[in-house]
Amino acid sequence: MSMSMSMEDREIMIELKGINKHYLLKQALTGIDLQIRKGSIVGLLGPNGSGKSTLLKMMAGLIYPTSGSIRVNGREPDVRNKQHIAYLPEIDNLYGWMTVKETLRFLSGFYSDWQADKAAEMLQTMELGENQKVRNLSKGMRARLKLIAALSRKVPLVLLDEPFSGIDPPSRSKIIRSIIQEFQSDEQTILLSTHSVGESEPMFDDVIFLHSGRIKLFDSAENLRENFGCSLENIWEKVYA
Amino acid sequence: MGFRNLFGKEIRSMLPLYGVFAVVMVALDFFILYKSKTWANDVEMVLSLMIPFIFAGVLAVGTGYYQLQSEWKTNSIYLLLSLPIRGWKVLTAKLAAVLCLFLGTLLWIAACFSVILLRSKWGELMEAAEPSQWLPGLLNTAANSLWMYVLVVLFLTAVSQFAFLCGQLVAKLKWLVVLSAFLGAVWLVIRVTPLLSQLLEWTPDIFFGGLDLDAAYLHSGPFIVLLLLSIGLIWLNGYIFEKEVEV
Repeated sequence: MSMSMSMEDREIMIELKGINKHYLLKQALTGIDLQIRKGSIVGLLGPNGSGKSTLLKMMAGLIYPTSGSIRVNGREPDVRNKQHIAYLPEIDNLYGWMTVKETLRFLSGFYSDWQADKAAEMLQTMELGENQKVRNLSKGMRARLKLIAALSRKVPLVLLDEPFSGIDPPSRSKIIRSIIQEFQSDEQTILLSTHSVGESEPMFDDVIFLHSGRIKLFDSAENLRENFGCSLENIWEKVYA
Repeated sequence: MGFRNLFGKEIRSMLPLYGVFAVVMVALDFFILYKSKTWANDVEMVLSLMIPFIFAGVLAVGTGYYQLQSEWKTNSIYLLLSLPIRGWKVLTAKLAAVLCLFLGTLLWIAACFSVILLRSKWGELMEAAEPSQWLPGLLNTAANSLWMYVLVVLFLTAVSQFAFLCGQLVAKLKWLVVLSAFLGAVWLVIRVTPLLSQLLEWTPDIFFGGLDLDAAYLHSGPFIVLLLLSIGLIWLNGYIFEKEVEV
């Protein structure tokens, strides 16, 4: 992905300082210090239980750190900030009794940045029937619907937690192409966690490798490939060996 | 727009349940009509009015709890928490939907009773006394009873939301926390209301009954306090939902 400005010139979209998150019996995140600049697609990689979802939920304002400070788009994640963040959780979070059309209409009522044309276009591309009830959709189709809900908004920050989970490989390539096509590099930041490193690698400007709640590696994808002399998928195997 | 969306969503999700209740009410009233020749009037009143009215209140309070429980169970809580809308608005939309359906149910129960059962006894009632003698008192009693009942149901539904949210703050023994929070909140309000209502001695009394019937004058203080405490509890629930509860 080429940039019109150097990374250092871009404003900071997400800043985490000394973030710790502790649950009853588990330390989910430890000493996370991170700065993510505007205008990049960042891959958040790590095995199950490494803290990816916890980190994304914190940025989306669903949970709060035990200690440390977090600023998203210049402010603490709060209700007003959610107007500028599109968050796609890993789990199914839609109402099963609604149809696809009703779900998108329901969501559009909360966001002034909702793009109805884009949603309709994506519905056609993803081959989803408007009048199907969400509970009757397969796992992959529900994943596509969640993606439409997240990408139909014109927001500065998009957080995608395992967006390709349950989606077949050909559809994943289509979705990746769609994300790259729709990405507004001067105004938008996308943070995406995934296990499908091979397919999504071409998208990433920067990559974060998380392990047991700590950042193992954080650098640009280009630097990592240069330093390790291999693809991100192979770096994964080296980092988590 | 967001509040209206949420309110509409809540109404649509609960409509099937209240629809079934409405059908059951019609069936019950026809059954009572069939048995009316052998049953006394009091039995008919209790079965067709009092018990359904009480059940409607219990259903409303239970629905208030179930609304939140189903959000967590189906994971749609992730969706709610990521919306750019304050916690008290989310919970008020749920409360408002419950109250609207509750009021609608009460009206339905009264309508079913009037159309199916009362119609057959209307002649007797007219002969017993002039409507102008008993109607104003009946309307006064019914209207006052209605708003008092709605206020109590509003309060108990807010308490059931509070109890559920308290349960979400702990990892273990949720049921114990929920039960303790519910009973504790009700006990606290019962203890505090008489004390606070003394500060409102200057508020007018409520005339309950009719001119020719036994009338009662109830001090409005406790009801105002209950309303204010309910509003405070709704705000507290919104704070817990927005800031304390995690997924």
